[in-house]
Amino acid sequence: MFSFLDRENTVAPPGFNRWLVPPAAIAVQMCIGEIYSFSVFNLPLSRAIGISKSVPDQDWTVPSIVLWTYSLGLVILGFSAAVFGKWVEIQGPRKTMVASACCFCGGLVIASLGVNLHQLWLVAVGYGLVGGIGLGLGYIAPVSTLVKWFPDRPGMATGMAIMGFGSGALVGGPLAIVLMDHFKSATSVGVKEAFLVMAGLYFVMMNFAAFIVRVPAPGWKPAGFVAPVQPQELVTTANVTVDVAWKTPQFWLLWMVLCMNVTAGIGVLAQASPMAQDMFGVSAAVAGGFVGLLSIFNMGGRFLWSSFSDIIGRKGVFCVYFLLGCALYLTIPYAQKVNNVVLFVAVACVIISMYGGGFATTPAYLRDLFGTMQVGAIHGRVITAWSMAAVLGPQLVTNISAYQKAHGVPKEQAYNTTLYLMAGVLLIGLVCNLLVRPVDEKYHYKAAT
Amino acid sequence: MSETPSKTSPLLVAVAWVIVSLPLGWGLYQSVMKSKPLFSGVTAPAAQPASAVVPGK
Repeated sequence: MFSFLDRENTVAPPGFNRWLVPPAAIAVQMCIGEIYSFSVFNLPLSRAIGISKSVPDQDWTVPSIVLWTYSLGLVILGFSAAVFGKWVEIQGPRKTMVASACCFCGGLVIASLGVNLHQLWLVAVGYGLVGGIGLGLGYIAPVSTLVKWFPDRPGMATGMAIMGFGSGALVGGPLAIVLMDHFKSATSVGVKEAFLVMAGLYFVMMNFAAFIVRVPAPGWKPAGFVAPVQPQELVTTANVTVDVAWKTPQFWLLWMVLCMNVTAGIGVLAQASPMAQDMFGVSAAVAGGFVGLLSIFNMGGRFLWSSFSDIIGRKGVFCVYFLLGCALYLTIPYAQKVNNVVLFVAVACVIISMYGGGFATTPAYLRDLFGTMQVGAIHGRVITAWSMAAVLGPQLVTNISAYQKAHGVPKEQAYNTTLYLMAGVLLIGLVCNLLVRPVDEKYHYKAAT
Repeated sequence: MSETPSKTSPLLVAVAWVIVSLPLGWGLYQSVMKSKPLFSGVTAPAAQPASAVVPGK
């Protein structure tokens, strides 16, 4: 009955236009990227009973909401991508996208029920657990599909897909605010209704993507594409299976590369608003505008930096992220010292663009090293580095700056130690990146003869 | 045996891009609007040194 979802029934016929696949990839990523904007629900959820204000001992606290929704969702994303990556490669993108839509949107429905019954565990099961599984499935399927469609420009392909995830916050945040404003009443903060409407909209969008997505026929190449005669050092024509890939040093070096890049970037992203207010004394409204600007650079950087990696190579672009990033982190304390807000904003925007760029370049790097055969599954396992960094980065920034403030350091200078530490984190990433070499032939997949 | 290539309709490709571009454009517009205060109201708590330039100028 559901055979139309199978991989073999999604193989593109001759003459298929590959430019139909990027919108499918972006659509799925845009929907699941909504998790980046979850913070807009924090305050309303903390007033679910009191409505106009939080009722102590009855309403949920913001830290508990963040822990059981946003943080749990991102951790499960990593596990889901790692565990189901191989299944995704076997079943193909259409079935995976439909499964992702069912989990992600079903999770929103369960979370809505949890808000209605005021049961945080049910919200956690819905948004964090079930939704998180949908996030993992929806994150890797479009990326591996696009990489196969664009062997001539893999960086641009992964950039388009991962840019979609970055755009999720731009769309999901304002949409959630509009819906909550529409549904809020004397008895409701509007969250449960917003969850339901968003579940419906995202379900339609994700299934539209599943409907148009196709995989290339075996051996397909774009018209006029000729593989380079002189192979590049780090770009293999062989394949490595996921079960073998994670035993290679290259896998763990890339895991560290992603983890270090994300740790440094997410630390700033998560604390951008308080950092701007504490270091430069800007108002909360201006700091909010700063966060909005960072979201745009986070999204744009994914496409631009990853496309740039097609020209200078994946290793080269990561060297730029780490060296330039290190220099920029060291510039922020100087910007604070001379009270130059413009310099601070410009530096932070470039840092965040490279943070996004790191996400988008990683699958292309994996494709270069391990081939396209199971790149989605390998990508799924590398994404666990993100889960680790999502915890590490914000914790480092928050705790170290809080410690500094508690020990009498002026709040304008309380972030300096963290920024120096982040520069060091990027240098560790640089060393790991420089150590990456081509995968030994003994790991290459040899088809049974 | 010859197989007739089934060309993808350019209209379908255009429609697919419009469907994803509309929410994306709306979200981008919302973010630009949200970031407007940054370019109009940057103030420092203490007296600003001459090097502190107001964005947007």
